[in-house]
Amino acid sequence: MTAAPILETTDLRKYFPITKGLAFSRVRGWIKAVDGVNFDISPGETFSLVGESGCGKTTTARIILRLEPPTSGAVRFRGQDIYALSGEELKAYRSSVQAVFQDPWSSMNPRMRIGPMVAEPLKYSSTMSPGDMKSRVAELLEQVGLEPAQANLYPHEFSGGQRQRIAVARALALKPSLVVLDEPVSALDVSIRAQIMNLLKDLQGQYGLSYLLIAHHLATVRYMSHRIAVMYVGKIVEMAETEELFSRPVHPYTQALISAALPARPGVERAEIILRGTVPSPVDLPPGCRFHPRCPQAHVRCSQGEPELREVSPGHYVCCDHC
Amino acid sequence: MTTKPVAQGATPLLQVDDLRTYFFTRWGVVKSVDGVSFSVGRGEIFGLVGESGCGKSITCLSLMRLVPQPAGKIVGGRILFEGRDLLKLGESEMRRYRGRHISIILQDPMTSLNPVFTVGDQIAEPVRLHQRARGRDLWDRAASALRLLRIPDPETRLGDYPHQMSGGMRQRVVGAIALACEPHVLIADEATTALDATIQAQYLALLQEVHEKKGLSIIFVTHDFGIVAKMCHRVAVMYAGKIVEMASVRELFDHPAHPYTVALLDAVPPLDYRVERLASIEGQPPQLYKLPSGCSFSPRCPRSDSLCVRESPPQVTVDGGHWATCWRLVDA
Amino acid sequence: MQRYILFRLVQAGATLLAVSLVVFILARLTGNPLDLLMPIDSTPEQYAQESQRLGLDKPLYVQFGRFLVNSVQADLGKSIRTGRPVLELLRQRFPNTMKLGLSAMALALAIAFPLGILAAVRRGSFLDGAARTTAVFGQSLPSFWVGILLLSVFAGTLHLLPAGGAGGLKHYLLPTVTLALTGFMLSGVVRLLRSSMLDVLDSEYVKLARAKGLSENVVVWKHALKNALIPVVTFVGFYFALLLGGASVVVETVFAWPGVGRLAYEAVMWRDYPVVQAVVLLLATLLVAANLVVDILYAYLDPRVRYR
Ligand SMILES: Nc1ncnc2c1ncn2[C@@H]1O[C@H](COP(=O)(O)OP(=O)(O)OP(=O)(O)O)[C@@H](O)[C@H]1O
Ligand SMILES: Nc1ncnc2c1ncn2[C@@H]1O[C@H](COP(=O)(O)OP(=O)(O)OP(=O)(O)O)[C@@H](O)[C@H]1O
Ligand code: SF4
Ligand SMILES: [Mg+2]
Ligand SMILES: [Mg+2]
Repeated sequence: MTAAPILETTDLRKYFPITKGLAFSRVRGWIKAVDGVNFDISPGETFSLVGESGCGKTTTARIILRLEPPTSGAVRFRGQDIYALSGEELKAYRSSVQAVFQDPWSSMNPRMRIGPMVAEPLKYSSTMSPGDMKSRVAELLEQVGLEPAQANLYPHEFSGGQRQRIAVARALALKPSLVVLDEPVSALDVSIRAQIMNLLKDLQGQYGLSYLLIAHHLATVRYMSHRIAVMYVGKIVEMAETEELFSRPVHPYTQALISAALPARPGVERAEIILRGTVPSPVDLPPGCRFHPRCPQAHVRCSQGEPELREVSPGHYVCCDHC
Repeated sequence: MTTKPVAQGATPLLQVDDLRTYFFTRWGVVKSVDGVSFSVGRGEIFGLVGESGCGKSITCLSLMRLVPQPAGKIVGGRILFEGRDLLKLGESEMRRYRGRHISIILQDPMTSLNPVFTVGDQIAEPVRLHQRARGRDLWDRAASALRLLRIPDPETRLGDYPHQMSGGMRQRVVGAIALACEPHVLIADEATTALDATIQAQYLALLQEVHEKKGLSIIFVTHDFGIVAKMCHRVAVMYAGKIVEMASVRELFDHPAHPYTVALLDAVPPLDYRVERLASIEGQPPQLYKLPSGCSFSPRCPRSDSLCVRESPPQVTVDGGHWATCWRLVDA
Repeated sequence: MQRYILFRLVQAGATLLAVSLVVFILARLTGNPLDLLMPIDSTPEQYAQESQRLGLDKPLYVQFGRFLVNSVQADLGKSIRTGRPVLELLRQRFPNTMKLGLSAMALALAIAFPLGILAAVRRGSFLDGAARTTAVFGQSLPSFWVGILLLSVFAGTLHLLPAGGAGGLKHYLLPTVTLALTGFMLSGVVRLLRSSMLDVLDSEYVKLARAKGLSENVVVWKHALKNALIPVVTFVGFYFALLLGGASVVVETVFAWPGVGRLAYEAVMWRDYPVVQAVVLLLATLLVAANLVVDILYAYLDPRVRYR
């Protein structure tokens, strides 16, 4: 993709303080949730973040959504630093970037019916008549596989998967240009999952949407993404186009991750690379390459200098000096 | 995992007969669980898959007698645990089973932890209650429960509040709570959806280990056929509040008999190659308060005919323990 | 957290300054107090003299500046009507209001807590209905009417209790009951607690707590209550501040209770603006303080706030 990126992050960092005590507490250390992340997303592209649970994917997404200011680094949307926006520009940013989260419950007001909930973003940013809004809501609900009549129900009357579909409907209401999808389909059964993924792909085709997808299910990621970045404890360790990454994973962590994915039928044997040890805590990181204590290919040198992301083949970046 | 021996004794550990759990709402009666029967042997891993909203979680909650009140009600059936009908127990007797003999990992890891208590408190709670551990010992056990689930730096993490943990960590905390008292039956309602592949593999290996060493029986509710394939001995496929097909895992993947099962398996995205478009089932899932007449799947079923629309299909035995409820089985 | 508290303190100071300015101006917009104080046949010379003595002839900003400087030095001026220092008046009256407010709040909470919680736990039961009716009823009863009714029954007809004034325990009974049962104190807490408790009881974490085998008591009183209290705390904090700052004007007047409320009432009647200013300032200070206490309580109850 050659077009100017729609979103770009430079050296993004987010450190959470670890404190003790209530009022007059002291900071005893830092959780380095995101520790120097660089990537960009082109218009019409699906860019995915995968990686160890707790490696900072959601935190990255929250920074991009302006829900959590970064400790340092910048996020640029169409060239503008999003933390410098205000007024109309900020409003425009908020309507062109939407999100679907891992957890459909917490973003829903239990006392609000589904209809008004899906219509909420419309109210803020457009001048639709109530009638138009109602039919738009009906259309959105149908798109995600619900019945328009269900607009009158409350969130607790839906199953987990149905709630997730509502969240997708709400995110799509404003026809945004970038949608952050944090585990959007993990709560859905495979058929609806396929429906939603197809829907997301169709919308991308129609409106040139970009997606930042965060998912653990690698088959889902493979089906949806154009490019993938693999994160490990706050850092991107490998980034490449989808097929390249799946067919030629270079970083030992990526190799282990892909090998651990479960084939969808019984009887398919795969050689699984078992990682030794436990995930390092983002509080005290090991010296050198942060993966070295668990790396099956670790060198002595790996515990010394911290490797940088380097291009091993066009568009394929790896953060390891020895592979 | 190629051979999975099932130690199936004479009486199953858990036997569910014709379970019915309805919600009485202003829209009508939602028949979330409508005549579900299955059994889980000692040391068996039983899978439950199906459409989202078809009643899997409500089935699980019914087993614990924790159906959302006041709308929900178990209106019929039996749940025999070691021969005793749980539905006939008094509330305080039932409490002695919860968390101790039968544990559950709730579906939504982000909201199933109490935001105002530390995870340490929450893990220690059932241990204190059922095993009467106190003080240092209690804390150590909580820490080792976390360590077991591969949470880095467990001693420090015990003092964390849930919002300070990532989704996957919270899910593992919920798992640690469920396993803390060494239950006989674990109900895992989508217990690994928030985990990455390597941690999921470790988690599953851990369950496998507990299963083998302690004879833990597991009911796995999942949308991930990879987990079904790797972990389960038998599977039930649910659609609209009913089990529509039951088979051993191998049978189900090799000879799916119900049209819904076939369609479901077709929608699974492949891991090893790229596809341009996934198959999905046409039409909308039915509303559980106004089910279509005849077979619930008939409006969406590619094989349905006039009989299907008119009358409910019978349960047909395909082969041994493999059966499906359908007028026009897919012959493999 | 420290930075947050510091910030809140500065904010509180600014709020108080703004409030005192508004009060200062308002008190002077309602007319010249000398019109009420001076005998009708006073000469203009007497008028000017009195005005000078009280500093009313100076430009407004000078008056305000002096008022501020004095306030900071805990000198709130002298009552125009009685000539006694305002601070002394407050010192005399405030403890009475405080005691009445505390006892009324204790009574209201003692009733509201179990009622709100039980109403939620047994939702749809007779008790729930009764709680909700009580709440609506209490809120719509005018306190002066209840006060007078109670007075006429217990003090008038039955001669069981004193008709007014402060003193022994007996004196507390009627005003406390009136203050606790009417207005929004009881009804507000019942309704708020009931609804937030209902939300919490439906949550997944309560489900998990039950799934651990915990008894319903532990589930409700430990797991649910702490979460359900979060919205209630704000309400109680503010309402208490209002009570102490003289929102109990009506009740204090009906029962001739020598508190801040009655002081305010009298001061307004007489345009005794140093006293009015002082009372409003007291109210503002209490509200700001309540706000701060509520925030700190919040941090105690809700760890998500603590780590902001
Ligand atoms: N508000 C917070 N306060 C302190 N630490 C936090 C906070 N939010 C996240 N963290 C920590 O930051 C790290 C990254 O968390 P994040 O939620 O971004 O992970 P993730 O990659 O989304 O993981 P998962 O796949 O499990 O959802 C974790 O160690 C987490 O404990
Ligand atoms: N409190 C409730 N009131 C009314 N209906 C409810 C309630 N809870 C669940 N239901 C209905 O019961 C049905 C079954 O829900 P359940 O949560 O068991 O689905 P599920 O199979 O677990 O789906 P998922 O895979 O999406 O989690 C749903 O159609 C839902 O609408
Ligand atoms: S009974 Fe008929 S409609 Fe139902 S699944 Fe079988 S073929 Fe399809
Ligand atoms: Mg996450
Ligand atoms: Mg479910």
